[in-house]
Amino acid sequence: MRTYVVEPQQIFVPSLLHLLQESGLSIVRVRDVLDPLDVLRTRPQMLFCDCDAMDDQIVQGLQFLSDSMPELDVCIYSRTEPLSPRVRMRAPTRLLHLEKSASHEALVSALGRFVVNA
Amino acid sequence: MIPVTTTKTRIFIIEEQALFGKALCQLLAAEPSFEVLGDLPRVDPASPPRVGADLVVLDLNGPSIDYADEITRCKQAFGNARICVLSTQLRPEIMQRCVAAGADAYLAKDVSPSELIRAVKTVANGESYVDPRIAGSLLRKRLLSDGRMSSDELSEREGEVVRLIAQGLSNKEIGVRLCLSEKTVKNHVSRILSKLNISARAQAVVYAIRMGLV
Repeated sequence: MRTYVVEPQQIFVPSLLHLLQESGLSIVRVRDVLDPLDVLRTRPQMLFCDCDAMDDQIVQGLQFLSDSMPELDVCIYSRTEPLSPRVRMRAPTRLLHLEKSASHEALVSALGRFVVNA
Repeated sequence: MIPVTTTKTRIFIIEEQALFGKALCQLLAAEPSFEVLGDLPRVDPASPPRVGADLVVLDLNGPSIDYADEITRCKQAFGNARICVLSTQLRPEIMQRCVAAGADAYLAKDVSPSELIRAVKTVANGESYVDPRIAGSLLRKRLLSDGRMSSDELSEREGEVVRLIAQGLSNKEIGVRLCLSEKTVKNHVSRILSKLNISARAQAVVYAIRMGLV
C-alpha cells in the first residue's frame, strides 16, 4: 500500500519508517507537515499522520482530503480520543487510530490487519 | 604513561510513547560521550529506577498535566540528575513553569537530532538550554513589554531576524531563510541593535539571558 507519511518529529522518522515497512506499507513520501495539495499530487493509497496536536489546520487538511480523495485510507497516530478525527471529518474515509502508548508489536499488528482488509 | 579516563554522561529517558522512547535511546546511545541507562513510560518516585543517572530526558505533554508536579516527581526519583524536558508545547509560559520547577533544559519535540544532542551536552556541562524558537518568542514578548521599546517596537520582520540570531544563524543564513539579500538583513540587524540600545548581535543573546530566558 503506497503510503504518505506526515511526521513532524525528525528524531522519530527512522524508527517510524522501519515500523511502517515492517507492517507491509510502501513509503512514497515523508513530510514534517500536512500539505493537502502535495498529498493530492502524490496520490497515495494511505496517509499516515502523526498529529499529536490535532489543531484546526490538520483537521481542515484531513477534511479537504476526505472530500478530494474519498478512497484515501487515513491512519491517525495520536494521543487523542479514537473517534474524534472521524467525527470532525464527517467523511466516509477508512480510518485507523493508533495510540501513541502502543508497543511496536501492537502497532505492527494493527497496521497489518488494516492493510489486509483494504 | 598516564591512563586517559573519559566520563560518559549517564542518561535515563522517561517517554510515554514507547516507540519514541526507543528512538531516543538509539539516537543518544550512538553518541560516544553518552551512556543510555534505559527508559520508562513514566516516573514513579515510590520505586525509582536505581541507575545513578546524571541526566534525565523527560517527555512532558498533554493539556491536563501539572508540569511542575511532574518535574518535582522526577527530581525526587532521580536525585541530583539534571532534567531535560521534551514537549510538544511551544508556549513560553509552559517553558517558564518547567524551568521554575527545576528543569535545566526545555526543547520542543520536533527538535532535530543534532540540536537534541547539543542541548543534552550543554546541560551535562552544567549549563541551561532553551529551544531557540521558544526563547525567541519570549524575547519578543519581553521586548515589546519593556519600557525602552514602547516608542520604538520591533517590526514583525525584525522579530523574525532576532529569533534567527538567537538560533545562531549568520546574516547570510538569515537571508537565505527569509529570502532577503544579505545587505537587507544587515540593515535589519542595525535597526534591531539600535532599538535595543546595544552594539553587537552577541549582546542580543546576553540581553535574552538577562531577561531570564535561559
